[in-house]
Amino acid sequence: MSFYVYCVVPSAFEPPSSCLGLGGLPVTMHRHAALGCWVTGLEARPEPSIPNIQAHHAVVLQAVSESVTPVPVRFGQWLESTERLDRHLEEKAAHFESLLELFAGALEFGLRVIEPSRRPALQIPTERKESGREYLMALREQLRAHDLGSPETAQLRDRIHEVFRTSARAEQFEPLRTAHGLLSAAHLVGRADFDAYREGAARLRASFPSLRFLSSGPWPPYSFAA
Amino acid sequence: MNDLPEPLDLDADAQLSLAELVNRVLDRGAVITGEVVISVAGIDLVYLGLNLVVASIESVQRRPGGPSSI
Repeated sequence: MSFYVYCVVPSAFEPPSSCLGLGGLPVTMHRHAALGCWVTGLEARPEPSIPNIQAHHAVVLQAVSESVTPVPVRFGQWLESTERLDRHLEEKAAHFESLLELFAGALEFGLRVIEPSRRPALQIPTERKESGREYLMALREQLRAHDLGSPETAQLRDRIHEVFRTSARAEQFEPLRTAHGLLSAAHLVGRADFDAYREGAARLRASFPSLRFLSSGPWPPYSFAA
Repeated sequence: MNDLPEPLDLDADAQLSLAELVNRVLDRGAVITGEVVISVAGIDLVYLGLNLVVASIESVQRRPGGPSSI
């Protein structure tokens, strides 16, 4: 029997019998010591398609998050045997237990910051390179300079950090490499602090009236699970 | 997925639910194995085995060594 894996949870949190996942098949618990995985047993390798993301994988993650905050597993994770799953859980037990402790009672919020006024697009390298590898390396260096070199982005990041300093347990920033994007942020927020987080987002909008703050969530903590 | 719709006259509380969802489940989360098949309309787009992982181009560029390490 092979398994499609949705998440890692404390072993006490069983999926409800009504919970269906990939292919409309039941979601069950696979236990290993103090850890458990919500899985769907499969006879063969699945063919997870993009529509399955919303219809099955995300629905299961939403269901588990109603009871406990899991360590979400990336879409498409499949193992061909219980032995492989157990070996992975054994090897990563301390890591997963640490994440579950961090995640307990919290969920993730996302924030994308864009500047509606027109900004120059990134310049794709046009100088001829000897190889595709050299081209990609030049592109990577250009993107790094774009990501790190903006004083306005640094100021924005500092302000976001200050606003959510007391309501967020953890925080991540990533650049947004679009014509109008400045950065995206992810915050791990305890359920008791959801209102405080939303109030903080409102204060941010007031602080930067020329920017747009696009919020999403709460999500299972995908951004903090790697 | 990373391109926003025009015009940029969005409500302050606009939700990009589907784009945010797809970005999260494809690009983030714990990796159990590198064997992933992603398909659209029944056509396999990406298959990677041998403990490699599928990721958005942004996460590949974020990784130490960047695209040159693939």
